[in-house]
Amino acid sequence: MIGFVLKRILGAVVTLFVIITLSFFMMRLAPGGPFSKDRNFPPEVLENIKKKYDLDKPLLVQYGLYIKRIVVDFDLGPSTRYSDRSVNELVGDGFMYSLKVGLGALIVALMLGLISGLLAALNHNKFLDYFPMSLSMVGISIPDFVLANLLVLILTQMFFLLPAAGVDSLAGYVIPCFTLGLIYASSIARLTRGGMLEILSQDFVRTAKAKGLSGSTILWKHSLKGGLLPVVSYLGPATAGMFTGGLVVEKICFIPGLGKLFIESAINRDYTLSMGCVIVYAVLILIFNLIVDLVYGLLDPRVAYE
Amino acid sequence: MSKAAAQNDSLVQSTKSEKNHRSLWQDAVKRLSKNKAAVVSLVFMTVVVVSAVLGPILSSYPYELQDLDRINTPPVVMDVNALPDGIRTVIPEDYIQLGPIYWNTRHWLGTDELGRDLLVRILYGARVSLAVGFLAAIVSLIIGVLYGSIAGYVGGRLDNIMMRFVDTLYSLPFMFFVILLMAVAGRSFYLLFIAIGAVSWLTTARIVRGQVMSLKNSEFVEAARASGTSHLSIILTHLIPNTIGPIIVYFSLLVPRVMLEESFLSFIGLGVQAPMASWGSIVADAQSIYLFCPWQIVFPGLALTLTLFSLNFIGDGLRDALDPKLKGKQ
Amino acid sequence: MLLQVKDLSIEFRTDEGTVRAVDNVSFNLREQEVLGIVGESGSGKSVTNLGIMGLLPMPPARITSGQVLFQQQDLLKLSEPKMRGIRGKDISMIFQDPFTSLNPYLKISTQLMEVLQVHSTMTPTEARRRCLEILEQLGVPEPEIRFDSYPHQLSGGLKQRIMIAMSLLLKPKILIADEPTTALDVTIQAQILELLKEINEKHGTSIILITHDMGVVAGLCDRVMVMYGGRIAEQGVADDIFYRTRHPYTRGLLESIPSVDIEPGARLKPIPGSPPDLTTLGDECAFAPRCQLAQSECRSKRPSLSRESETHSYECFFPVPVETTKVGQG
Repeated sequence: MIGFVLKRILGAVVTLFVIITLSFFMMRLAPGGPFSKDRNFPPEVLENIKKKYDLDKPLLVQYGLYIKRIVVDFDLGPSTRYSDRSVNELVGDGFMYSLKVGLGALIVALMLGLISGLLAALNHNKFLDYFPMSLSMVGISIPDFVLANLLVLILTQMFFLLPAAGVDSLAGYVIPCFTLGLIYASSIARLTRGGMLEILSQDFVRTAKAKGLSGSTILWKHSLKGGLLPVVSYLGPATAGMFTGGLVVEKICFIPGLGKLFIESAINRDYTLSMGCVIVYAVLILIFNLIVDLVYGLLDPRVAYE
Repeated sequence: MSKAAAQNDSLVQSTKSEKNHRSLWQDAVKRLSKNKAAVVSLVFMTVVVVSAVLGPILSSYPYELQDLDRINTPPVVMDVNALPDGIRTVIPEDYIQLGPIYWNTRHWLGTDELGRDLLVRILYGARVSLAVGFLAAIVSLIIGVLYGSIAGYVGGRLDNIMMRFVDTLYSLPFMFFVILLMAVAGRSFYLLFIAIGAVSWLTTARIVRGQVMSLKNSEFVEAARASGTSHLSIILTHLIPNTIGPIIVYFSLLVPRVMLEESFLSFIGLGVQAPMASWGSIVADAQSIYLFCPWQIVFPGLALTLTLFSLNFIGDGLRDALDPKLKGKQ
Repeated sequence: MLLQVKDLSIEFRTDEGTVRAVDNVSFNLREQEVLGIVGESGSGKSVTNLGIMGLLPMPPARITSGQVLFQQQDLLKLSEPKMRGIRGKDISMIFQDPFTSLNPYLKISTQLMEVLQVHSTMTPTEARRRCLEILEQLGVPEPEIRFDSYPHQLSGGLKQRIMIAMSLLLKPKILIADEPTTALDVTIQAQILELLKEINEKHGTSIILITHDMGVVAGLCDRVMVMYGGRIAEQGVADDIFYRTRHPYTRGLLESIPSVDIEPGARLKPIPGSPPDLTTLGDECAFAPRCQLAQSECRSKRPSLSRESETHSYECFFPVPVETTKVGQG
């Protein structure tokens, strides 16, 4: 078990290294840089700035310095755009906002997804199956930016509720949480339904019935564990996705989270900041995947930790 | 499926199969045509494709034509003589009264902030969105099929290395690379579908590999090998055609996913560039004023959602039709 | 009379039509006897017993007529909670495939103990003792270790023993065994059959043994019922069926068994043709199309029940003459 965890962490570190390397060279090899655009600096000033960010050195040296700084100091460097703030600070602030959005979205997604998926599975081929499944198809099909906008329109224009957006009040979180929550709930509902139907059709469920167990015992004790395994696998990437805020939902709802930060930094070619965002995202995804693997093993005794 | 139902099924099948010997494809078409949601979706998609092709040709307004006298004209208004609010413009002679409301006969779905006809832009956007969706899906299909069939056919060590590579790529946050790529390498139409296609071939590769692995030891492949057929020709003429069912199903579900990604990239400004339009970029253009001009978001958003909705239903229907065992399970 | 089944008919609604899986079946089960139900897949033998247990998935199944009398009550009319009290306590059932019949996510201990929790007032310690006791009786080696295992840690034969233990925990009056040995190796099969015999003799449990294997029936059963096309072709005590065969289908079954004392070079005689299509089977003898003795009458009318003796009856217009009957195993 401990060996398994260590092995997985090692694997995650390797993956992380690959991600950092790929994104580093992808950004640096492209023509243009953070200071080539709109700002016209005198050459000597530009030299100084480049020195500050190590941009005057050969690429491989830059890469080495960057890796060393991350590994030794946990320092993602200074932002090239916001010269007075470090990437650690910016990413830390953004992450706190994204965390709140993500938690809210996770609660919405799990509640709605699990309940409607279970309802659908238990009412297979009836109205309570078709109705939530059609809704979930809408949820899977609708882009998050359309849903967020529609929710804003409906709540503000038709019901005159809520200030439009912002992080100053709780209300500002309602739309981003529901947008992300509804979208992920759709997938969770479909996976729950599929997993439960699969389990409920298994021979061992018939055995349980033949033993004289009640419907609820069969559901809670015999079916739920196996039926929710697909949802558990999905929750790894999904939770990471929700915690990182959904890239555009934050933009639409004026939440200064990680997603908004990342897209702006990518467009502005703020090397260090977008790298920082990528790293935080990647770490989150890797952590959640590891948690999912462990939980999966707890639920399914046939999985052996090797 | 419970044993009893399975027995019952096999009972029905064993007695039925001899009577009606239909091919897999005829069966699939029959099952698909029974699926109401899929049929309605197919009809809807036909309408979308036809209007995307013909609409911009038949329309009297080119998609990039700006009419600065008619900025943000709504499709319907309650009162044509109301004072302009500085954002919307209403030119009374464009409207006819229809009951309690006035209906814009010049621009059926209104105009955007540069006075461009929204209907034409949506139809033109349909071309771009559908083209990117299909082209990128095809790119990913070609890469995935070749990669997967080689790995599955050769097997052994090479397969191991190739699939380990796929596993590693799976754990990378792809959308980020696409965003970085689009941001740093410039925004071109072709790069867009290459980028999306290049990152969504992984699942295709896995599916194809699995199919090829199970087929490559079958008698008909042995026979082909024994009669001296080349490896490439075995892959192309025997293995790939036999994996076509799952590939079609996966492709049909890949197209809407790719379109979703394209619309997302276009929405954040990294996809197609003005004056070209895709559904994502049309929504993005309206982002700053949509509280005043909701039609600019509602119509393209609706077009996008309905299209993805039908494509997903078609994919689901195809899966049920081609693999009835999975029906209703996933 | 322990269990009386009267005129039981069960239908399945499928896309291809209505399947009469069980058609007017009547039989009795006496105290302490082993009743064998023989037939090919789709003959209705499993469906009949799932119907008795109330385990048929409804829909698509539907019980259209009949009674199942057990302890002066009709099981088909019992409410679900009352029926639950009988399942696993008075009538228990084991299934064909021990590999899929145990829940892979729960420990053996949980799966055994819950039977006692539901049907008795035993304390956990008592329940545990009872489980270990029965495991030991059934020849499970190292019962305490197995008790705390998960199903995937056990072999197929052990899993089937666990299943049998589970069904015997509360000393049921009837044990329905649905092809309990089909999924097992031959040597394990013999052990399990031996075990069933022992249970019958020691505890006096009545057993309904469902099988397609005449050999299994010969070794174990007091009485035998041969089913074909959802109907009872012939029933009687074992000697009636093996030595005084009247129904051509029973004879076909007996002739198609390989046996040790068959002459070298002699060929087995398979029954030509395939099982009937139960969606279209009407008022005729179900076996007529495959029967060498069939005449026009057989194809227009369902034969009524003929009584050969107190114990022996069959449904056939032109039964096999007694003296030509070949002796199978017995």
